[in-house]
Amino acid sequence: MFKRTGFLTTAFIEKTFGGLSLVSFFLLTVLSFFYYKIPFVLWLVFFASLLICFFIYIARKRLFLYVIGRVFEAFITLFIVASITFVLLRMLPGGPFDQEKTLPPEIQANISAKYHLDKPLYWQYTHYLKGLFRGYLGESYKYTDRNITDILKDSLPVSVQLGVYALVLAFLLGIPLGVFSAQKQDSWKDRAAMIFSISGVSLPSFVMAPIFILIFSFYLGWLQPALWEGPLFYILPAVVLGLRPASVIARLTRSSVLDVISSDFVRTARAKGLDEKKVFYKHILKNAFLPVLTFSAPLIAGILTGSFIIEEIFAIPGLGQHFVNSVTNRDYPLILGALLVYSSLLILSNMIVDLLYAYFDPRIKVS
Amino acid sequence: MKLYRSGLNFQHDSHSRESGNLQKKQKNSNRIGIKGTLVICISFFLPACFVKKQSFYTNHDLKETFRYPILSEPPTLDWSKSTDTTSSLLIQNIMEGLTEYDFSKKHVQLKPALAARWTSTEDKKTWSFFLREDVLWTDGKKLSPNDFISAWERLLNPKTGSEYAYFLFPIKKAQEYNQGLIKDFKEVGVRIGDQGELIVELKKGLFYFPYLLTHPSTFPIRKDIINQKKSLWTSPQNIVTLGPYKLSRWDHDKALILTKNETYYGQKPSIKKVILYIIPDETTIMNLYSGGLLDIARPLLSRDLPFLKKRKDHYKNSSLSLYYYGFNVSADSLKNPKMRQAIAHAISREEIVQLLNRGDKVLKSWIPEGLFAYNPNLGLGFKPKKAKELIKQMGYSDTSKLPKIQIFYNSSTDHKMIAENIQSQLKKNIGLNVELNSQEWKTYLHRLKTKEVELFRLGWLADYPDPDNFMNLMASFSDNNHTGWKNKRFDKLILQAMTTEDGPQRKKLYDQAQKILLEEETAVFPIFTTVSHLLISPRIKNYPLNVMSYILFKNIEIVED
Repeated sequence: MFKRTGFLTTAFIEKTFGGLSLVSFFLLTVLSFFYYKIPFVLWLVFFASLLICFFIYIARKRLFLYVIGRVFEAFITLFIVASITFVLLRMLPGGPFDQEKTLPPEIQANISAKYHLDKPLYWQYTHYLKGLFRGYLGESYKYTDRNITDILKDSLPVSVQLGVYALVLAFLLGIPLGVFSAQKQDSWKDRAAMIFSISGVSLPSFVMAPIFILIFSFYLGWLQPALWEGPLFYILPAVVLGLRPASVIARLTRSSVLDVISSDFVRTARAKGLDEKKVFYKHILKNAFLPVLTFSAPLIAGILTGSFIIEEIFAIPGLGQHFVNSVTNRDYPLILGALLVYSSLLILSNMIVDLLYAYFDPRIKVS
Repeated sequence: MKLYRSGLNFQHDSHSRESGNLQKKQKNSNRIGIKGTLVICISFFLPACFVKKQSFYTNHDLKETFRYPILSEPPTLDWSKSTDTTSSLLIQNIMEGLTEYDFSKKHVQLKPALAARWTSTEDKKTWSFFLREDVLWTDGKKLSPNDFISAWERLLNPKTGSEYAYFLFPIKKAQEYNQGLIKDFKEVGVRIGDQGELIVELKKGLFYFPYLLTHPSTFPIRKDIINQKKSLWTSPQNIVTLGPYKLSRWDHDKALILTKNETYYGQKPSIKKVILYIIPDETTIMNLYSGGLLDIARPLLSRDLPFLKKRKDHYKNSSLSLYYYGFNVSADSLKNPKMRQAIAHAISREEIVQLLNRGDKVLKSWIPEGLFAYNPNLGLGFKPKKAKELIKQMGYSDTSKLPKIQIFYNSSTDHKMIAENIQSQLKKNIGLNVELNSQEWKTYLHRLKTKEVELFRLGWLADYPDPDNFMNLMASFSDNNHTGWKNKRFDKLILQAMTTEDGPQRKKLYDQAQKILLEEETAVFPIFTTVSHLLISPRIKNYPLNVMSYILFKNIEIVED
């Protein structure tokens, strides 16, 4: 009986589902990487376990009101983002249908009428907002007959896929490297690791990408130089995209681990005779993770929505290209759509990170 | 797996702190057991339902596949709405029009396509097109002249908002229909004759009218399909076409696949499958070509040309195009034609072309080489002495008193190089101070339209291979004339030449008009005709190289060694 109640504690259920979501995430990543079809069940398991875990966590920490408040704030922020962008776009000189070949005025009038560009600005604005409330982002001016929602549906998953590979690489490489450096502080190993990471930070991706292509696809012939068709195509862009955050994470981890090592509670833990491994994983690493966590929020949003340069160099059909091209095309609805996706992701990841602070450091009270 | 385990331990430990040490061991065994079983279940049962995804683009028989790069996603495959070159390229391969270009002669001619033959009245005002009888759409239906009528109605309908509706403006009442002035399409000069031929009545005689019908916007359309599928009609599963290829797959922003159309009426293409990869970056195209993943590399970066030119797979293709500088004649500094002439005389085109090092052809006249009425003797050449003289005639004894002028161009490396070179040439040759002004493309277009420019750069690529397409550009009624220059004599000559058949008479009219435009009034300064470069894999034969950049895949062949 006693066992049973212990077995069913909320914390335990939360951890079971947390574990399950981790496993399914791992499976999803591996399967998609090796170009397998992903069964729907796996998605279901992943999202369901993640949601359950999330809700139990919130319930356990009594954060419901806080989350509701944050979601409400998020909607206000998105509304402001949409409004300001809408106005700023109209202030840009040149319109979506300006081309080298000037169109006869009657044709211009027909096009303006079709896309409601002849209506007063406030009308267009309220029209857009009305659509937004119904979840309709409008139709692209450039890609006629395509909804913004369709374009985002096609391109966002690709960027997320690439972004997840890059993020996994960034964390799996960055954290151990930082820890390693901190443990061997001031030795040549530390220096070597830090030289590696400083070059990762300072080498821009448009330099790194061609060098990697040259080495790995032309000299060695192991990987494909571009396109998006399977593992051999995924590695280069993921590495190029992931190396920079990996380096930043490594440096952050190193400095915060060194910070925590010299703190009082670590000395206490050691003094009471705790196993060095336990001291390290439980006391040092957990606390040293906080700065990395702070850095993760904008990183995740930025990387998941795609990188223009990487997508251009490797011809990847992701969302990143739309951020730039839609502006040059003055494709107003597409710019707004892409921007809203980015802002929502940024707000969401910030919120999750704020919630996770309390997990990693019990001293922090989220409210 | 090791990582996962350590994660488990970690979670377990943090929990045990809350629940106390006593329960620790009991729970430990319990939890690992359950989680372990879970993991084992997942890892044993799930892989059973995993299937490897099929790759549509890298898994193919190279002997029957042609792989071609396009720089951008085609904005639309709806030929009433498309305006860009990428969409046109695709549409031209899955569709056909009444007529088709014939590049076998010296000047571009026409050959029959969907129209077996066509006739016109003496004054070139009424045209009759007799359709082929054996043309089938991909869904098995026969091509009917009504498909043309519905296509042209749709193109001109103001609700469609088509940008290329003006292609049919020469037709009687077409413009009025597009403006919404008349509501009944029956009033527009298109009808079906007794023998099922398509009869077109024009506003005024136009002897090059059949050339306009090579353009995708004039291709027939299946109204029933569009009504049924609405905006989804261009997707591979819905689209109904009649060209040598049909669209079989379209992954947005990634690639498109065309396959041979078995019901095509003409000679069937020899290549079964064409894959068009969407690759926005020229360097990436080059990488993929070098890696053997593409059969064509195009366009090439001008910085790579010096060494690529020496390769055996390098080809050149000149186009009917024009790169020019226009004078805004309403700007104070450029009001005086003598000033404009002085500038024209002070710039050496050869120097610019050499600087660019792309093998472009110097162009003094307005009509480019390859077109009827091309006359290399027209236009102002490089004569710095004459330029100085003109400056003196204007009353500037001291060149430092000359007004400063501004050059406007849209930001791009090549345009910048040209502008800088012109800046230095003008300073060196006539002591004119020039300021450079670059803008992002749409901002630049906006400035052109509002005439906030002085000296500006622009280009033109032929829509149809007739000198009229170029000469028309500078007429007072042209929407693309950004110079603000208007000349009644010029307009009259152009309009007259429009209805005159190719011959010495027509050439004389164009010579006179060009003289006014370039020598007397100097409203524009043509610089060169662009030559494009590409690499063609040795396994590809009969790749179409022509002045209209009209790329039909149907004649391409693959030779495997």
